[in-house]
Amino acid sequence: MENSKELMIKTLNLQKTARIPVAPHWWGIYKYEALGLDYKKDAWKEGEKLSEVYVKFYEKFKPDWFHLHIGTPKYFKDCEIINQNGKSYLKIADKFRDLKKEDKYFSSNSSEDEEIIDFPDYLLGSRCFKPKVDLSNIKKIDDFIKRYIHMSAQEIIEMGYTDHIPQIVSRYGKDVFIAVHIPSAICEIFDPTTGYLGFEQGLMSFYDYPKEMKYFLERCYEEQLEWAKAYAKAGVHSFIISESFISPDLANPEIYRKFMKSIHSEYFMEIKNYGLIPICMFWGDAVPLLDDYTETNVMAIMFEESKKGFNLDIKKIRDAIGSKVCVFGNLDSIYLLREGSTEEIKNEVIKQAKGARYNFIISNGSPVTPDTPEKNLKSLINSGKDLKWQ
Amino acid sequence: MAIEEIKKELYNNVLSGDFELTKELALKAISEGVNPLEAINSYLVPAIELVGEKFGRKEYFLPDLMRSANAMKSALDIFETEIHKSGIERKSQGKIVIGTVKGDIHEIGKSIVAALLSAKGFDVIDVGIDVCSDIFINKVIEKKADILAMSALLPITMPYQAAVIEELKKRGIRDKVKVMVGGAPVTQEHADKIGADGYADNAVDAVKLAESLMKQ
Repeated sequence: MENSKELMIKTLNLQKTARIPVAPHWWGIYKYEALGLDYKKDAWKEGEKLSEVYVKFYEKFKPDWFHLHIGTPKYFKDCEIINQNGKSYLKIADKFRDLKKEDKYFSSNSSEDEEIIDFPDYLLGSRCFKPKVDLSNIKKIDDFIKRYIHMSAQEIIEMGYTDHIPQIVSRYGKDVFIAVHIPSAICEIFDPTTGYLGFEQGLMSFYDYPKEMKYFLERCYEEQLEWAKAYAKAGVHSFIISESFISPDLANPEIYRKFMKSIHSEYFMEIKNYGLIPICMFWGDAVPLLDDYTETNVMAIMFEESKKGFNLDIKKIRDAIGSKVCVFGNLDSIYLLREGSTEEIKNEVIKQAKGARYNFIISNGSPVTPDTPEKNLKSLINSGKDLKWQ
Repeated sequence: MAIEEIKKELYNNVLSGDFELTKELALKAISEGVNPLEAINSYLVPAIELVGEKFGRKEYFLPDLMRSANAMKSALDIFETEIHKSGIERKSQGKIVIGTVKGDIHEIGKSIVAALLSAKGFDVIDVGIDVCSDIFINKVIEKKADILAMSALLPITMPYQAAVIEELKKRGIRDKVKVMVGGAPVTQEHADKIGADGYADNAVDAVKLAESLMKQ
């Protein structure tokens, strides 16, 4: 019988396995709640502590993977959370202010940038108000990237963003699949409040500055490869990005084909060259672009749960894409995993596995949400682990 | 350009989402003596309604909707200023306070609903994003709003819609204002559960819902 790592790697490489791997989304805040921790306090402020949280959660639920998030910069250590006008901010400790200045991931054009980071609690410190890019000419874009985005893999490592990984790799690296999941460059650009363009401006830029927008996207994805390199050096097995904001339920599928498809193809190929398995979470209605997605060198696709505007049925997805890539399941994280019964969850796991037929990883469609009963998550994991391919 | 052609072009440019040209046409329409009320009701509103329908049929996508809404708003502002100058009151369909709930920074859906409501003659007070119950409720009281419309795009912020309704009850004004809710994860079931008066699946339906709530 394969261990979790072998099981995941074989499945992702479209090989047969004895049982079906189970890899729920647990990179979000649920892990803190399940361990009785207050995520707003200090569990995430240091890579080593974050690592302990992941290990404890893994030991409690034993899924087939570590689903890690982007990590924590060193200068979050000893920071204070302060509240002003009903909002939370991180006040960076004096001793780390110089280090903070070098971190372009949290770069900001705010005058208070050196010591305070806006910290909406649901964002978990993963974003801040980024400076806005001027797309009016290529030189300005280059200057912007150099000034606000470029960090080498070495700088990313030195900043502490991989500090949550070594302990996990040394203890579990041979037996359990380890993946890091980060927002894609599109998310960094389109985030409504914090993005380099914002959502509305981002969408409009496809029309108003097509050439410059394409160039900016290419450069941003190129820069993001440094993050993949950093995590590869830290020893993870897979690099996952979340693609959002330009899904076909929002933007015309032609926008993806014209601006993004070739970028993705080169990007995922390069990730493979680093020895990592590229996985992509395509948020939103993936159906109109399924063929395109499978032509991008990505090895597995994660789908969100069906929403009122679109239906993402795993059987139909499998029928459409055949055996081109591995498929993750998309059990509904709210109406089923949080609010359903263990029996309903088990039934949906079986239904999705039957529909997928092969090269399938059991999962939910978005991060496990707060207030999800532990027994429900265990039902997802354990009923999945009980399933064998016929 | 003849008046009839200006009107037709106004309609066409809202459909195609040409902000600059729509604005230019609106100014031209005014200088040519086009009745601003007629321009709004006979050209802008039907155009934006068609945009909404096309969006519903997936012939248009969000960028198209946004471009058309911006184009329409550029003309609407000009016509409304003109109406105001002339001392004529554009008959208000009702007053609506609209915003995205606390903890949620998603703006676009709410803004599109606000633009469509405005085009249809509602007096819209947009309180923005990440809005706490105090701001919603104080604004409802201050403006004597008929409807409170709340958007939430995140599953974890949906419950805040219920919190605002509870606060309305605590302050004894729940029966003074209709509450409508929307947003990607929001469903009719959720709306019923939290005691909202209505739920709409998309921006066009939100306008229809507001009209129907005003008749109740």
